[in-house]
Amino acid sequence: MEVNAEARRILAVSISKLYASRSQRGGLRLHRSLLVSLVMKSARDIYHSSAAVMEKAAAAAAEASLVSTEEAMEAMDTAEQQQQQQHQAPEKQPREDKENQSPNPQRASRKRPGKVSAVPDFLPEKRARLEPGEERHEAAVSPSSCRGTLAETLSALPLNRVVIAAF
Amino acid sequence: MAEADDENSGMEWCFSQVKGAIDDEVAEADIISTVEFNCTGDLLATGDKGGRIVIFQQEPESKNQPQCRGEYNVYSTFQSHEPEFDYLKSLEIEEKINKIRWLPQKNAAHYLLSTNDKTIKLWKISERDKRPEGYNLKEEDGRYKDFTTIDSLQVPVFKPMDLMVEASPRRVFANAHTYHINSISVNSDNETYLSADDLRINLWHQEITDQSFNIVDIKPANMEDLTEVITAAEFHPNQCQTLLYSSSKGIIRLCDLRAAALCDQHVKLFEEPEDPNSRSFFSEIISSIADVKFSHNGRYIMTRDYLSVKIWDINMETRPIETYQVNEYLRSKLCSLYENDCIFDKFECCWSGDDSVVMTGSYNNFFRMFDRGCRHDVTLEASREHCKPQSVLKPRRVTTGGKRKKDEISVDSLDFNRKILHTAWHPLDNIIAVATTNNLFIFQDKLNQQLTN
Repeated sequence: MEVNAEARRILAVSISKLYASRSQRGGLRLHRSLLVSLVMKSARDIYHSSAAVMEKAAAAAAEASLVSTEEAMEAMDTAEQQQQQQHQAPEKQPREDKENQSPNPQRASRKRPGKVSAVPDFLPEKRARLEPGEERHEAAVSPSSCRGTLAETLSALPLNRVVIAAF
Repeated sequence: MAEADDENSGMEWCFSQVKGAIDDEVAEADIISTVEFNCTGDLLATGDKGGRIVIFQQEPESKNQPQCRGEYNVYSTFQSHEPEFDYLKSLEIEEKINKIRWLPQKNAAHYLLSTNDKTIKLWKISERDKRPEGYNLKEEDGRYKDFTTIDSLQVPVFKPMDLMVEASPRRVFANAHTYHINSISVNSDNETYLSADDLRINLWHQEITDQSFNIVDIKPANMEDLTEVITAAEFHPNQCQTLLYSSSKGIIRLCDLRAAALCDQHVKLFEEPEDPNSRSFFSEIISSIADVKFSHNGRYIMTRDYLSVKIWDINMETRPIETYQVNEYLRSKLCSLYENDCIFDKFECCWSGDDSVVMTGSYNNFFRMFDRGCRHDVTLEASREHCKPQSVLKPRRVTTGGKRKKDEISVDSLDFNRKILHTAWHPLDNIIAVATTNNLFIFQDKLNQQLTN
C-alpha cells in the first residue's frame, strides 16, 4: 500500500515538473525531460504491479468470504436462505449512474490519444470549460473508481510520447 | 609541478582568495556556470549565467615574498553571449556560458572558446601597452588636422600607455546544434575542436565557421524511441583521433575518428552492471553521468554521477577500477531531492595535475578530494567564515546517525541551495578554484608553500 501511495505521489510530482518545464526559459531540456519520463515509467510500472497484487488479494479475500457466507447460509433454515438469495440477486446488478452517463456514448471521442489531457484525476482539473452541447468523457467521481480510472489512464498514457513529442 | 608528499595521509589546503559579491541575495546573472584554468595555469576564466566571462591572471611570484604564490587578480571582463530569440521555435536562447575551453597559446595573445546552448565563440584576449603617437594627419584625439597647417613630416612612434586588455570575438560558430550544447573540447592537433549537444557531436576547424562535420548522431528515427542522450564529450589529451562521450544511461563510449566518417559505432564501451539490490524509482537519474574527463596522461577516464566518482582504465571496459562515494548519505533522500529538483544537479569533477588526486563538489558548499594513491579522502568547505589568509581548512564530516560529534553536520542540516557544481585544478600546481553559487574560492596546498620557503 505504501509503495502504491508513493508511486502515485511520484507520478503527480513528475507530471507537475513536466508542466512547469514547458514555461522554462531556454526551452524544454531534453535530458531532464527524459529522466522525468523514466521516473514516471518506473512509478507507473510499480503502481500497476502493486495494484494488480492488491486486486488479486482483494479477489481472493472476496472469494474466501463468499465461501464462508455460503457455508453459513447452508446451516440456516431453507426458507430464510431462499429469501436472502432473492434479496441479494437484485443488489448484485449495477445501478445505473445516470448522472455521469454521457448523453451520446456512441459518438467517438474527439480527443487525441497520448496527449497530456489524459491526466490522472488526483491533479486539479485543467480542461477548458466546454460549451453546452459538447460532450465530456465519463467523469470518475466516486472514490471507489479513482484507482481504476488512474490505472486505465496510466496505461493509456505513453510517457515517452508525451515528453518527446514536444521536441 | 610541486611534489606530492607520500608520507602524509593527504594534503592540507589553505584559503587563498575569494572573488565575488558578499551579499546573501544572489543575482541570477552572477551565478557562476563554468570555471577553467588555461594550459599554464596563469589564467583562470569563469563564465556566469549572465553571459559574462571574467578572466583572472596570476601575479608573478614576488621576490620579497617567495613563500607566497602569486594572487589571481582580474585581468579582463567581457560580455561573451547575449540572450537571443529563436523565432522559428518561439524559444528564448539563454546567454548562460556552459563551457569555456582555452586554446594552447601560440603567440602573445590568448584564445578561448566559450559556448552557450547554441553558439560557440572564439575570443582573442590581447594586451595593449603601447599606442602610436605623432600622426601627421590626425590630432591626438583623432580629429583630422587642417592640411594647410602641416609644414613638416614626422614618423609616428609607439609610446607606453596603461595596460589595456582587449577581448575581441574572432570567430562565431553558430546554427549547428538543434539541441542544447553541453560540451566543447579542443583537439590535441591544435586545429579542430568538438561540440556536443544532447544527441549529436560536431567537429569544427578553428578557422572555419560556416561548416562543421557531424561525427556522432544518436538521434533515433522516431523520437518516441529515445532512451539515451549525450551528457558530455571530450577529446583524448594526446591522441587526436580519439574522443569519448558519456550518456544519461551511465555509459561511456570511446570513438576513433579514423574508423568511419560517422562514429556511431564505438570502439570501446564502458559500462558497469547495475546492482539489482539498489534499484529504486530514481536509479536511472542517479546513474546518469554528469561529467567525464580524461586524465592528463590519457590512461584513465573519470566519470561523475549523482552519488559517486568512478575511475576507469581505458583498457578495461567491464567495470571501473576505482569508485569513490561522494555523498552516499543522500541515497535515502532521493525522493526529496527529486521533488526539489536537486537530483538533476550536474556536478563536475577534475584531476590534479599529476592525476594522483581527483576532486568534485557537493552540497552545503562542500567539496571532496580523493587521493588515489593512499586512498585518503577529505571533505572541505568553501565558506567566507573560514577565509582568513593562509588558514588551513578543517575537514568536515557528515553524519547520518542520531549522535552528532563536534564539527559534524547531520544530513538533515545540509543546505541544498548552496552547492559546488564547478571546480578546477591548476594544471601544474596544487592550486584549486572552487565555485560556489556566485563566489569563486581559490585554495592552495599548504605543504608546497612550506617547501618554497
